[in-house]
Amino acid sequence: MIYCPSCGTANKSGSKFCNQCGHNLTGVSKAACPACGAANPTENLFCDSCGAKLAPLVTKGSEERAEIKGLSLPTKPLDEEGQGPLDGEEMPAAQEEEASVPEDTAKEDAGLPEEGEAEEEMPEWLLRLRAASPASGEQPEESAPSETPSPEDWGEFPSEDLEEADVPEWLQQLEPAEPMPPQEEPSAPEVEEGEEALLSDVWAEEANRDQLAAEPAEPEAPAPAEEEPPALKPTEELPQQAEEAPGGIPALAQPPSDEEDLAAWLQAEGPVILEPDEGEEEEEDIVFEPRAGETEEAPDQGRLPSWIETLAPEGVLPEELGGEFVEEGRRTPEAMGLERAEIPSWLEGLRPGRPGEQMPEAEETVEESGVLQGVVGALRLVQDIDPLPSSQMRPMSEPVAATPAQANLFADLLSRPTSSVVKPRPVSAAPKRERGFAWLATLLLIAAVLLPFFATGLVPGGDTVAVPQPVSDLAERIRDLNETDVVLVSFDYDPGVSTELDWPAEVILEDLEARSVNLLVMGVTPTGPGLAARFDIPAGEALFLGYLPGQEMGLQRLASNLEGIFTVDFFSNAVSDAPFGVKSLNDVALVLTIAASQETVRWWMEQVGTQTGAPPIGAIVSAAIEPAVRPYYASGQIVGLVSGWVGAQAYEEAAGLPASEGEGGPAALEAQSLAHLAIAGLILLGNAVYWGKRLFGRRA
Amino acid sequence: MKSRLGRSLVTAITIGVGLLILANFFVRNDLLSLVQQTLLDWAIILAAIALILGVFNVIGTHLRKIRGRQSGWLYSIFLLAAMGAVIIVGLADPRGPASPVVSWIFQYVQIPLEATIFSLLAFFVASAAYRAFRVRSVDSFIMLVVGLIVLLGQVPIGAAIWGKLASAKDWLLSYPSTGGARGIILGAALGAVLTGLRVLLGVDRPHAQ
Repeated sequence: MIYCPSCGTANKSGSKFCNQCGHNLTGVSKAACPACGAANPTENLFCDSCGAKLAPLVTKGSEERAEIKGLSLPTKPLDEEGQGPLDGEEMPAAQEEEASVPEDTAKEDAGLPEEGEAEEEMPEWLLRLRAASPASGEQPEESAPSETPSPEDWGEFPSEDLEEADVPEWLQQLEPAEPMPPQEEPSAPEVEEGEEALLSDVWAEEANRDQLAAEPAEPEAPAPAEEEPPALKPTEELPQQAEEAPGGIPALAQPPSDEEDLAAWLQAEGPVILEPDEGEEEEEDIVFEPRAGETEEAPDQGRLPSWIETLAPEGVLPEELGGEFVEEGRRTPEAMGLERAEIPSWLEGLRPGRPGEQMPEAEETVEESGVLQGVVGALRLVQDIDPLPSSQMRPMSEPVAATPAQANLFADLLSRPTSSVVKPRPVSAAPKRERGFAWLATLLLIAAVLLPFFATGLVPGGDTVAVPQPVSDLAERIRDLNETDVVLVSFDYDPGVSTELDWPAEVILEDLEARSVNLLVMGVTPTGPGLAARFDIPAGEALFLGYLPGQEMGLQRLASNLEGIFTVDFFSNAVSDAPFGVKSLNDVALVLTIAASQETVRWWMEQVGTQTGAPPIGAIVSAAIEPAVRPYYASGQIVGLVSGWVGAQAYEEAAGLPASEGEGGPAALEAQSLAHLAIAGLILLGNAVYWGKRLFGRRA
Repeated sequence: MKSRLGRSLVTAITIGVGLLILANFFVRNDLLSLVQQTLLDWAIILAAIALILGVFNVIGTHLRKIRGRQSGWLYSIFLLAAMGAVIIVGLADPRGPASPVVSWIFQYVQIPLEATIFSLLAFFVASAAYRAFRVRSVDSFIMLVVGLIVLLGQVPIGAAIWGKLASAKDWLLSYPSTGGARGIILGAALGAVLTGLRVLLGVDRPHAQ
């Protein structure tokens, strides 16, 4: 199987693309173990070398994906699973091989070099298992977890791999017991203080050996089932066993001659046998058989089961637990100055249970995600099997002589104050020259605008302007109005340009008032009527219609039928009460739009100016849109045009009105003239600098 | 199927209404005029409602800005407070927007603020004039000369500099500038006609988007 790294789907081995998401699987061949770094086949969930969980531990997401896809994690308890299939299958192995495996493992534990002949003595199934695990040979031997075969390997060792002929008769008679509830987690027995370390060590060795050798020594335990768990053998017996085993290792006891006794002993003393339920998947539904002798008495303190004794390598057990185990001429670890390490916590879970042992309350874990979500205790041993985080499992490297010196130098460099101060970049990316010019232009413009208000007459001829033809045409049109005529004035500009358009509007309204014409005041912009209300217009001569919504549509409606659009005026008075009635635009003598946008002028031209019998339209606009409005004047659609302050001044002169004072008038025109002059000067100055740089730069 | 029928119905209504309004420009008929005025009244009412919807949109936008503590959320508080105050004052007075308080706010708050912001444009123009109007080619030289003529001919000082500067400005605005502007206006008008025809023929359906 190849697990897709993208979606976690299990794909058939050799697949090039994921059958679920189409992810390319060609590059997915090996997965590095996060703990030991060994290369594992991608289908492994646990490391072949150290047993650490692989991909699911890397990222939580990947673990969830793997679970979502319904692939159960083969998280069999290490001790029990190791005993389950191996126990049942390996027991029939040759008697000669039973002793060789513990011998080999014992030598590794003792730090002795592995002998070549030990491999020859390994059982056949173990050799196959070893061959199937590519990373087994890469794992350092001193690493304790490296000796733990992965559950994946156990899963590859089903009972069908062995023929029935391999199973001895005495084991075939052992009918699998009915599924029993899971065995409680083992706990350390009550031992004396001096024996605790030794027992922990022995249990750890036992657990490791269980996984590899699957308890080959159980049959040779001669103790009957009803007896107490075997303790250390008397000193007279152990040498005898050692004589029977090759290599000087204490030989395993011969199995009981009576097969019934053997079966009873296996149930009482032997490892737990795992049996899967029928009809369910083997990996997911493993039932752990409890020991048959749970109610038996606890073993005596300081006494080990006989099958543990047989696993003990030479020279490992201290004298207080049977110095007879120590082979003559071989030194104990204590004698070699080695301290015995306490059993790691993670190995506690691997320690086999003992009859009558007080088991601690198993902490029931509940799966929080995946297909096993909500199942209690389904993967409760995962925590025990899982190795420590990789950071904790890495062996501490021995500091070399240069390391402290380098560390001191690095700390010294860090503690030194920085010699240079990082200067922040200037906030403005513009060069100083540019920023200085911007200030110069601003000051020049302010001076040009303010100066005429303090000293008039700076501009020669500044109070007189030539009257353009559009202005004179509009003045002529207004001059021809009668007192009974109605003029519609639309304020179509915003307060932003009121400074420029208020003066022309005031001049026009003053002239209309002087003619005593009737005024309809409105606006196609929401702020227009408010702007119009600021002017002093006699109420008896004007009707403030207010705001006409709808823009072009409103003007179209106004042009088609003015009556009915406005029911009340801007001051909430009924339009019907107006002193003069207007039913349509045909009753209007002149339309004046005061606009700062060519769009509003265009609306008037298109929606009103095109109507049959539409009144003539004049425009008072800002100087900025004059070029865009001029075509309407040139085509005759606009009868007159006044543009900006200059247009207002020109209209005063054309209409014979008195010169304005205050905001408008000669001072305003002089300020505008100086401002225009300043801007023109800046344009010329900029070009002079630009061309000066180009010319002198070339010469340089 | 249902949505297709709905779209077809909307398209048919649009085309029908457009043809009715258009026909009133060519045919004098009281019924057509009445239909046109009624439809225009509806459109004006919808436009007025759109203004109210715009107010609600502004309120919602700035409330979200305040709630999310987005950039400038303090300004949103001031905006909503000012808008609420003006609306309350306007609704409280039966004279509406013509009430003295609203007129005072409009004249002494809104108008000066908007005029001030618009006046800042002069300083940007002055600063940009130095960098933008640089003669790099013949075209830019022509543009510079025309700009200077219109700029100075627009104000009385132009006549003081050169007597015919104002006349030159008028000529530029009356002929070259008007020609260009008229071309733009005609182009926009043709585009509007084409767009109207596409809508009337059902080719474009902006109302169905």
